[in-house]
Amino acid sequence: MPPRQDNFEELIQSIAKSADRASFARVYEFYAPRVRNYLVRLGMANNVAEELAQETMLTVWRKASYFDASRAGASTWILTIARNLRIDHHRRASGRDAAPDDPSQAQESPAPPDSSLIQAESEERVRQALASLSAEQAEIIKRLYFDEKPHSAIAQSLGLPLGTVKSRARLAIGHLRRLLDDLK
Amino acid sequence: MSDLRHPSDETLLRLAYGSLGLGPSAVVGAHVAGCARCGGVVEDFERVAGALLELLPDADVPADGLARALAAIERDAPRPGEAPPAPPASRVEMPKGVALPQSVGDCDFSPWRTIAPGIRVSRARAHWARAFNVKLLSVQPGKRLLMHGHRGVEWTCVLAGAFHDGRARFAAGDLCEVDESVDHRPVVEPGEACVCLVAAEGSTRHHGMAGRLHQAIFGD
Repeated sequence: MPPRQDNFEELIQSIAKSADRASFARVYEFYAPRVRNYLVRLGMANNVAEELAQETMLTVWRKASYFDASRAGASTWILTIARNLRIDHHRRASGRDAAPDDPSQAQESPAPPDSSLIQAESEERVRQALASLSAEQAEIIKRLYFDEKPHSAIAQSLGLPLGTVKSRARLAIGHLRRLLDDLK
Repeated sequence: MSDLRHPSDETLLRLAYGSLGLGPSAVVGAHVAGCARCGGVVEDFERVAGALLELLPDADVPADGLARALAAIERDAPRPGEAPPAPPASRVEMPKGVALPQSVGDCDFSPWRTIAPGIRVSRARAHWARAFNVKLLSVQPGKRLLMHGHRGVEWTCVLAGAFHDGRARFAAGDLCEVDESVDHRPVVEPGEACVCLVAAEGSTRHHGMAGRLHQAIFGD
C-alpha cells in the first residue's frame, strides 16, 4: 500500500479556509490521476475520464467548505464526488433530460470549521482491515469494486468456476463487514 | 444479511463505488434513502472504496492538467454554498399519495398503460433508465402475478402497498432483489394497490444490444 505522505484532510481544510493553491496542487497531484484511473476502470473513454477527473478536482476546490472530516476522509469524499459526477454525466449524455444532479451535495451544509479527523483515522483503520483479509479475499473485494463484470474477473483471476464465485464473494464481503464492524 | 427486504451486500458495495448500473442505482437508491441500516452499510463500503482509490495506480494524466485546473480556478468566481437547482418534476401522474423517488432525478416516464388485467405499467423514457428496463408497476389489490423467473438480477422497490412472494412480505420502502435462482409468484395484499419501481440487469435479450449501442454512441 502506498504511504500517504500528505494529510489530505488538512490540505482540503486549508483550501476551504484560505483558498490555498499550494494545498490544492498537492491534493490534485495525488488524486487527479487516481480519479481518472477510477473512471477508466468503470468503462469510461480516456478523454471523457480526463475531463471528469478535472471536473472532480475543481469540485474539490469549490466545495472544500462542505468537506467534513468527521463524516468522511479525503479519499472517501473525493471518490463520492467523482462517482456522482459520473452518474450525472451519463444521465445527461443519454439524452432527453439535462439537469444538474449531484446527490452528494444536495442536502449538505458547510462543515463546521476545525472538525476533527475522526473519519480520517477510521479510513486508516479501513486500510488495516483490508490488509488483514486473506490474499484471495482481498483480491475478490478489489475485483468486486474495480471491475465492471466482477464475477467473471474473479473467476479468471482466481481460476474459480463461475458457479462458486458468487458464494466466495458473499463470504469475502461478509468477512469484510465483520472487520468493519469490529472497528466501530 | 439474510433479510430479503434489503438489497444484497454486493449490490450495496457496487452502489457505493458507482459500478452498479444507473437504472438499478436509481431503484436501490430509493430504498437506501429511507433505510438507515442500508445507509450505514453504504457508508462503510464508501470508506473501503476511498481506501481503494488510494491503491489505484496513478495513471498518466496530461502534464498541464494542474495548470489548467488552476487557470479554471482563477476564472471561477467563488460560489460558496450555492444550492444546486431542483430537478424538474417528472410528468407521470403518480397514484394519489405516492411520490416518485428523488433517486430517479428528472427521468420522465410514459403514461400508464394496462398490460394485463389489474396491472398497469409506466416506462422510464430516459435512455440511461431504458437500458435497464426501469419502470413503474401498479398492481391491483389481491392480484396474483404469474410465476416467473429471471434471466439476470432484478431490483424492485415498493413505493406503496405490499406484496408477498412466498418467501417474504414486501411493504413500502422494502427492496426485493432476485436473480436467476429465484422463481416467485408475487401476490398483492388486499386493500391497496401495490406500486413499485423496478430495474433489471440483463433481463431482456435486446438489453445487451442496447447497452452496446449506447456504449458505441456515448462512449461509456
